[in-house]
Formats: sequence, structure tokens, C-alpha cells
Amino acid sequence: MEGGRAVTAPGTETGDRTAFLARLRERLAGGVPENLAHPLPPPLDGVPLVRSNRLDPSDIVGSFIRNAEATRAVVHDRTVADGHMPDDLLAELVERHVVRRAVVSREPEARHIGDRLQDLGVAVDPVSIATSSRADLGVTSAVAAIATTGTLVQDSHVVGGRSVSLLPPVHLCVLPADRIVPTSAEVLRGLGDGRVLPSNLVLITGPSRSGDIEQIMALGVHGPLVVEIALLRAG
Amino acid sequence: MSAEFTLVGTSLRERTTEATRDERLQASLARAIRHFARGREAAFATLDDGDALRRAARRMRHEILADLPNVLERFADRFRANGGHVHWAVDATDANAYIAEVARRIGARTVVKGKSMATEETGLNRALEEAGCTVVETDLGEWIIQLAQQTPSHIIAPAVHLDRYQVRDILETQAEPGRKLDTEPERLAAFAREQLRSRFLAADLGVSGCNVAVAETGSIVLVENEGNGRLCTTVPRVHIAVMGMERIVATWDQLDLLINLLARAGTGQHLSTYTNIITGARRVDEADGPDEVHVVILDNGRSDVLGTELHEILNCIRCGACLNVCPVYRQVGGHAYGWVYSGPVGAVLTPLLARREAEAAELANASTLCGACMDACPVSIPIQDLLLSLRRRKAADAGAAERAGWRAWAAAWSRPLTYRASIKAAALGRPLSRHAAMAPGLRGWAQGRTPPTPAERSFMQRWKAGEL
Repeated sequence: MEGGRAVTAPGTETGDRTAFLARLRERLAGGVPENLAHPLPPPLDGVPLVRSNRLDPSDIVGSFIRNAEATRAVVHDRTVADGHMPDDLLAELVERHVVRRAVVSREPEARHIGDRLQDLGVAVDPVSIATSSRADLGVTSAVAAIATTGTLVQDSHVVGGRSVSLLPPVHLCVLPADRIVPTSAEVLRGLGDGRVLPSNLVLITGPSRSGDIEQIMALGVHGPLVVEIALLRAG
Repeated sequence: MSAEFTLVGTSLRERTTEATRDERLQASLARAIRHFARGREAAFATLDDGDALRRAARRMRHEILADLPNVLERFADRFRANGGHVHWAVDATDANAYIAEVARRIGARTVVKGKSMATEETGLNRALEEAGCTVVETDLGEWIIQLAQQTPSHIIAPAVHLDRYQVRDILETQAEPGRKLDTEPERLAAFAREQLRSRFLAADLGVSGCNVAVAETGSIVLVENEGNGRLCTTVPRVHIAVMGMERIVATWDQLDLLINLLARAGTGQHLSTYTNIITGARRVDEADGPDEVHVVILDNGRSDVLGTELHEILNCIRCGACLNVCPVYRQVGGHAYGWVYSGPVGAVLTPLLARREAEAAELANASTLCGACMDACPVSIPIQDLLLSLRRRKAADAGAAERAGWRAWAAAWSRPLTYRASIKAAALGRPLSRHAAMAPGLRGWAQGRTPPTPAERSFMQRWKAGEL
């Protein structure tokens, strides 16, 4: 992942940090009473990794497809020679979702789709909150994807805007298969290595949903109703 | 328009009685807890050793809290270096005043909110309304209860007490006159999307909670499923995150473990639909995102808990798993707890944070001490031990007369002579036993308990007479 552009001016600080923390230090000075009924587990040798039977280590890409589909994302598994999403697949999606307007991220994979969309008669607008909110389709790539959970990872510095994958009812992600990693650890555990992080890094696991009414899953509450993943294997 | 909490003005018994008599609530609760409890079990079953991870998470949370002042300092320094503004708020009034002042400075009229228990705790909506803002809750469940002027009844599913017909009636008040809504949840959700999208686009200020902050990069991590949290932190030009001071980890390794456990314990997902990592405001070459990002680090009674026998409750990551397995919550739902937090964790947090000690103390009794909460907890908090500690505190405050009474009973039943005498007296008073509950001083204790009827002749008497 590329780092985001550096920040120019530090933010302000209000309230009394010294008094706030002095109070905490005072409270912690005597330690924490031991729980004799349920004693604390022994100290850790590092933070354990989360291992799950949802990952088949011999088939990372297959695991991603299975788990992404379980989240109700739609995966199109294609082997391509030129690294681009096949035109027939794009045309099919444009027709299925009745796409007239689209927004496209600044990632090279997505810009290529932008050109193809214009060939298909779809209006492609520069990205903003207003244009994303009007668009029928948002197209991005992903800096990584997580096999165990079927998750797409988007970096705002690379994408150039957060609204492309958020406001349109359909999100199309063009995903080169070699970006799929086994678990969340490969994405998250490296974030503290000193790079400047992007203003927004988002892990997207399926279409937007809510279970707030009778715990029945309703798709597409505020984010996309549909997540289409064009998974491209090099042929 | 703010909903009222019932902690003050009603008793636990009144609230639980009302809840257990409400058949519609019982049906909604049964459906919800079955769904959540099964989801959690299924998600944990896919892990190689979920229990070992829960134990590790307990130790990890313990070590973070033991070093909390330094971890918070590192976080605040990094957050500011990223261009974010930090406010240290000692209590709810302090936090609300800061947020209202930001709203005033930027001339905010519409404020959109992502789901946040911390701002329920501080009563932020009322403070912003008093400052002249229109506050819109955007999580579907939160929006429903805001419209109905109710309070959340579950930590992660605020409208869990309502069925689709009740939700339809509430949402229909927002539709144009004459428009009828379907009761299909997907259609109701689509109605919320349609209604709330314009509010998002008009909003000047977005307020969110903070699931976990990460000190080493000064980042805020928000998890959610609807996308409303992403909208609140993307569309308005200012974003303020309100963070309970304990909702933090030191490193990304720790975040990785915690976020995996949180989703599985809360909703039974392997990861939430959106894990939204925010590090500073939008950069100059980005098309969207807020120009200003603030974090309010909230104490509000939490520091009083540090270093006490209740310290471990600060490990809580608000997943709601303990509610779904609790035999008491399953019967009475969240409103019976009378305040923001419900279930086992609520029974511990309310006496500590609600600043109404007298009324909140009885919540420690809303537990069977079965320990199902600890078994479900993703960070293995021994909640039953904390509830016992609260009961001990309460007992220490009990009246001298009550304590003398129990002491006399204990002394009498510790010696055969006085024990037998009391049994004989009970047998003689047998016709009166049904009325024992009416005795002055016993009434409150005896309510809901059936007094045993002593046998005419005791076991010992019958044994000696050779009848057995």
C-alpha cells in the first residue's frame, strides 16, 4: 500500500491533558486488585494470529471467492491475458444494472474501465460527493483483498476519494488475483511500520446491510446494494 | 426531541414486571437473541481455538489498561500530528460543550450521527438541539428509536424490542401524507436510504463514536454494516469522534485480534461489512472526506473505576454478546435496565457511570451469576465476579437493622438447639406462613418469592418416630 500525502499543520489540543492523565496515573499507581475466582491469563508472547477453517491455504483465491460470495458479493472469476476486465462482462453489468452515469476512481485498473464505459455510452463524471450520489455505478480497484473474510481493502490516497465505493447503488471492484492475501493480519499488522497512513483505509466485506428490523438481513441501507467483483487471474 | 431514561422514577421491579408482561416484546426479544447467540457460536466455531483467543484478548486488554495514560498520550500526539484536533473531556457536560462550540463555530445546522453509545451516555443530542442544531441519527435502528422517542434496548441493535409492524408505523410518520409503507424489512430499509440520503448531503457536521483507537498511528477505527458510519465521516466537512477513554489499543497487532473478535461476538460476522480506519482529515488531492477531524477523549466516571475491583469492566468493547446469553436480559430486554447500557455489562456500568448510585445499585441483582456472560465475552471479562463485587458494596451500605437481622438468623441456625426451636416455632406458626410476606420490613424482600410452608412434623421428628 502506498502512503498518503503528508499532513501540513498539526491539530489543536484543548482540555487539560496533564490533569486528565494525572488522575489516571494516580488511580493506577496501586495496581489492579487480583481476581482470585478467575485469575488473569499469563503474559502473552506477542498477539496471537486469528486462524480459521474458512481459509484453504492451498487455494487462497478459491477461499476468497467462497467467502466473498458468502457475504453476498458477486464474484466474476476470469482469466485474462491483458490484465483488463473483459468487455463482454462490463457490457453485461452495465445492462443488468441499467447504468447511465458512473464515477471511476483514479486507480489505473478503474480508469481503463472508465474509457470502456464511455464507449458503451455511459456518462463518466469526475469524482465528488455530488457526482457519486447521482451515479448508478462506482468503479474502483483494491490495494488488497482478504481471503478468510472475502474483504476488499481500499486506500483513499490510491482511490482518490471515498464516495466512489460508498454512494452509488452498485460498486464494481476490479481485483487482480495476486492482491489477495490470506488473512486480515497481512493487511493490518503492517500499518504501524512508520508509513504515513492514508486519511481513510476501508475494509469492505460485502454490500451494505442492516439487521435492525427483526434481525432480517436487508441489503443496501446506506452504502451499495450490490458489490460486483471482477476477479482477474493472469492467463 | 430526546428520549427519557427510566432509571430515576421507576424501580427495577416495576420495569421488569412491565417487560415480562409485554408479549410483543417477549416475541421480539426471543427472535433477536436466538439470532445473535447462534451467529456468535457459528462464527467462533470456525476459529481454530476461539477460547484461547478470548483469553489472550483479556490479557492484552489488561496490559493496555495498565499503561493507559501512556497509550492515550501517544495516541493524542499522533492524532494531532495527523492534523486532527484533540479534546480531553472530564465529563459529559465538558464533551457536549466542546462539540456544541464546534457546531456553533462552523455554523452547523444539520448534524448526522453514526451509532454511538458514548453519546447516548453524554446526552449529546439534547445538548446539540439546545444549541439550535437538528440532529439526525442515521443507523437504521437508532433512527427508528429517535423517531419514536425511545432509548436503545440493545448495545448493537437499538430497536431490537420492536417488530416490523411497529417499525412500519414509526417510519410512516416520515412519509409524505397518504403514502403507505410495506412491512418488508428490505423495503423499510430502502425507505430509510431514500429519506436519509438528503440529510447526509445537507449535513455540516458528522458525529461518530469510536470502536477502537490505535495509538501507534493516531487512527480511529469504526466498524459498522450499513454504510451510515462511512457517510457520517465522509460527507460533512467536519467529523467529531467521541471516544470513551478506554476504547484504545497500542498497536495494529492488537487491533487485528480485537476487530476479529468484535465482529464475531457481536453479529456473528467474520468481519463487519465496513471496517473504517480514519487517520487525519482529507488530504489536498482527495475528492472528498472532511476538512477537519476531532476526537473527544471522554472520562465521565471511567477513571473512578481504574484500579478498583471493577477495573476489568473497562476492557469491554461493546459487542453485546453478554446480553444475548443472559437469562435475565432474555426475559426483560434492555429498557428494564433503565439507562444507556443493558444486560450484564449494563448492570455493571450503570452504577459506575450513570451518576445515580442509589437507583442504579439494585441492577446488580438483575443477574443469576451463572457466568454465561463471561463465556460469551470476546475479552473474557468475569462479569459475574464484578456483579458480586457490586452486591458486596451494596450489602456494606445496607441498614444496620437488616444486617443485625441476618446476623441473628445466622447465629440461630448455626446451633442445633436454637435451630430446632426455630423449626418448631415455624411449624406452630404454619397457618400464618402464607402471610409472612406481609410482615413489616419483609415486604420488599418477599415480593416475588413464595414463602415455603413448613411441614407439620419435621424430618427429624419423623425419623425418630420410625416413620421413615
